[in-house]
Amino acid sequence: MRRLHRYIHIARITATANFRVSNLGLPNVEMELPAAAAMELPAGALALYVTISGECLNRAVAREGGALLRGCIRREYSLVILDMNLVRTADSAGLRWLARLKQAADWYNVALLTRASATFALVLRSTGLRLPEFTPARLQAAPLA
Amino acid sequence: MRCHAIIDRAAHRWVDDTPFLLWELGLKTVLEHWADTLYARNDRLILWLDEIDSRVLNFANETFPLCRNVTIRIGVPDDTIECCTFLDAGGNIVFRPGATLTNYLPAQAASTTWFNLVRRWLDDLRASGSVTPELEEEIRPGVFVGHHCRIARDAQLHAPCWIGSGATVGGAVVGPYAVVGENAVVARRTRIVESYVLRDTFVGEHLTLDGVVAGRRQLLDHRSGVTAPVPDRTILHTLAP
Repeated sequence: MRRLHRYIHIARITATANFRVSNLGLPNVEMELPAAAAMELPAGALALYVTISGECLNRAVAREGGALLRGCIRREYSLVILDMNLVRTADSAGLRWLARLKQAADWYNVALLTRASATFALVLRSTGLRLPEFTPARLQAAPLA
Repeated sequence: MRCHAIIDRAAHRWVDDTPFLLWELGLKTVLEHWADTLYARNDRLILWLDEIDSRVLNFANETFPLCRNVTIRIGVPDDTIECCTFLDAGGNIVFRPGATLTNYLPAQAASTTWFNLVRRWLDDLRASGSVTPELEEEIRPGVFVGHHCRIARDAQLHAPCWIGSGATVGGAVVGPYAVVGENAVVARRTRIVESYVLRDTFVGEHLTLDGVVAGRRQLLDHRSGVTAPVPDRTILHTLAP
């Protein structure tokens, strides 16, 4: 797993990779990422597994996430799996980044799947932000553009 | 009749480490609401705490100084009791005559029981009106508003709902089963359904509070008991110093 910046960590899902990803700082929460073939990714398409290790989705995380947003706008990825299992809360800058990411994914046909902790899901629900969720089981049938 | 309640104080705490008995319920607290119910039956409430809780003790001594219809004792009753009282899962105050001791809360999230109490209180308000009409006015059937409130013209108030004195409601949707505490501020385009905004709380714009308790810079899902801190002052903020 490559560390993009301080709070955002990414792993590329390729044709052969079938590795286990453990959530940083919470090693007992593990998830097996399927290989690109298992998800029926088109040849040459790229999928990303992104995890956020900060407790608060704030301006600093949003600033680091700018690269991810630009990648979506340039259609560099077909699928972005955003794992926010470690995030507990967010401020308005973080929520704005998340809303923009969702909007960019919708506009540029990038499948965005997210996972949020129960605490963060409560914040998302209260702010009215609805994001497509994934469970490790559902990842096998990720809706691809 | 003397009704005994067995209070286990280890659990059932929320924001500011407030004991469950002192959680807000409109103008009152859970303990006052409970005592009122007993007063209507001409009964007395005896709370048995497992250890000294100064906040409950001080509150009871300050709130019921003369009539003494609430007494606090430490430990468990050693002699036979006449009646045990507790809160059931539906938010009802139950009286069970006999010597059987029952803990005051059933084995479920305290927040669920508390919100069921709030629901029942709102239903009673709607059905039989306010017992303190000098403090809250029924502006429409089931919609109760306190003194000095500022409510925008485009605000939608759906019964049953209760808005405390000094509250400000922008163009928001409040209700059904919503409570906006005293001196709270609800910004425009926010929707509050089956939720409780604690007193002295600012709730920002464009929020959807459904099944949530908002206050003290935290959100609580009253169905599951999950709490989430909200650091952003534009979303949720405490107005009291």
